[in-house]
Amino acid sequence: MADDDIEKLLGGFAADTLTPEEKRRLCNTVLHDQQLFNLFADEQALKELLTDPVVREKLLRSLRETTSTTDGGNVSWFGWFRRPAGLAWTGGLTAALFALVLGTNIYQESLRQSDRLTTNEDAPLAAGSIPSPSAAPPTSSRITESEPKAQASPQQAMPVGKEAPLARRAKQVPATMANPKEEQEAIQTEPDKLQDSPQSFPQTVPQSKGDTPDVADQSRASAPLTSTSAPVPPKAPAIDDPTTQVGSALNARSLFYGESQEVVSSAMKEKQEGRYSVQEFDRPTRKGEQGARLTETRAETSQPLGIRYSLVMNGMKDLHDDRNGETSLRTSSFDLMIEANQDSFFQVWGEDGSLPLQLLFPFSAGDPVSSRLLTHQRRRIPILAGHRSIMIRLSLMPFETPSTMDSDVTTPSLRQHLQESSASLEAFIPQEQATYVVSRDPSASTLTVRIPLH
Amino acid sequence: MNRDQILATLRERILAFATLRVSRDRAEDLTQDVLTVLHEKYSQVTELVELVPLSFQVLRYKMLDAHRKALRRGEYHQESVEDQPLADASDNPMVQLDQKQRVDRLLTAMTQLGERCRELFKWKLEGKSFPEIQQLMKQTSINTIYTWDLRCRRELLTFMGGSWE
Repeated sequence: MADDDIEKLLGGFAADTLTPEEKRRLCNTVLHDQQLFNLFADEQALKELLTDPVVREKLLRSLRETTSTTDGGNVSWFGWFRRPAGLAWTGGLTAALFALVLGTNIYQESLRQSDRLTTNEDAPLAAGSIPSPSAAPPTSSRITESEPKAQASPQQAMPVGKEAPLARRAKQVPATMANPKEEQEAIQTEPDKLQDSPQSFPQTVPQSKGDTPDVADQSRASAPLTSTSAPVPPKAPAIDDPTTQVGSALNARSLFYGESQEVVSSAMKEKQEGRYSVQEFDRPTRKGEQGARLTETRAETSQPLGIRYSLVMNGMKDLHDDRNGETSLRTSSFDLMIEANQDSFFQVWGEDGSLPLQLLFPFSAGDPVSSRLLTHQRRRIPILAGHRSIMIRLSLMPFETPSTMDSDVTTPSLRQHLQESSASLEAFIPQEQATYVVSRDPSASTLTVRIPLH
Repeated sequence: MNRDQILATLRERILAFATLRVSRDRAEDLTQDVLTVLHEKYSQVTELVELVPLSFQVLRYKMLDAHRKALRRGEYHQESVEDQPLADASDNPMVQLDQKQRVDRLLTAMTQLGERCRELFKWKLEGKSFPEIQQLMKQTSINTIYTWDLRCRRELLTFMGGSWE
């Protein structure tokens, strides 16, 4: 120890615990250092106290008691807890425990959700109860299922003579949907019966080979405007080959709603989550709601231009008319409901015998606002009765101002279109017979559909 | 260093120390009284390590005696001698009270010390030397113990009010 550090021996000097060597060095230094001497002289008072055995024992006892109370027991633990380090450890452990519990809950919840989704996806596919519109198995499977039933009940099966098996099956379909009330009840009350019910799938209404291969009869209505309480089912187009007709009819509807797997899977998911029936899935869009959802996920690039139309009698329901005040026309008018799968413009023309075509809607040929048709937004156009047929023109571009139609447009060819008719059970339009017409050419920007009324 | 040389050196230190507390004349008288006691009553003490602590102790007693005499004579308050009680050879109640108060202050101050300082003081009161305390506190250097002890002493002095008296 350096001489400068002799001051550190003061404590030992007062307690008289210095070693002989320390004492010798201390005394030598003190004799030659007045300041140190003064310090040691002042320390004498403490040394005097500590020299007294009674005082020493008293101090010692006090220190031992203090040490023992702070050493062990609850007081010590509580003292450790009150220290900042203890508090930090406790807080950190609590936070870690909380984070662990929270993370575990979130992880389990995500696992549950994924399991639920997987179950929803797998179950229908395994059971084969919900068909894929793109693969078009529903109709065939349903038809296959309904075949024995149709054979068992001869009243329902229509005699079709010698026809191809597929065509015969296709013809059995309208017969099985003869009781629409029964069909609706089955959907609403017993979903399980849907699989057994042949009415719960889109109906293909092909016609025989000899009906009308030409365009004028391609969609001739079978019972137009004959009843005030029933929708107007347009006649399905004639086709050369029934097998081709079945396939193309299915494709017409699926093409109308988009052919990509994304659309199909999205729609199926929605159906599965909502536990809808197959018929609800196959049914056309419900008031634009499902169409809007499909629009979000639809692959827009490869979708051909398509239109969905149906005719509804005004007498069956008080429907909104775009032209207010013409209620007197409703007794002898019907509504044309149209819907396009792309943003487009449309015109409705009326054909009345030898007279030239007459523009029924919009009122002005150069009115792009009124003729605008948004994607999957259904429009209702009131049409006065009396026309032999009406013609719908659909175009991606606004129409030119001339209010006359070119001759080439008036003769649309069935080869350019795919067509399908299906029954719809929407709440506000029961038994709506909708027809889907989709252009075969994906690049086509126009589409013309002729609807015979008489 | 022989005894005379030690006493001569001690005289200088004692006089300087006393001069800081009392007047020069009184300091010289005080120093002479200390050396007289060391020469007459402790003539057998010749070792340096014994003479120095002894001189500290004699000096303190002599200063306390001088303080009591001055107080008794009324040098501080100029009171009548007849009013003061006769001197008693044993500790009077005032000294006893003073010591008791100092002990109490010391106890209170020690309870305010940290755990390490209390341990250190406890071992010192138990008579353990610094090397022994070094082993008890498991320190490799004894200088650490010296430093800790110095800091604890200063801390205790602060709690005592800056003086051991």
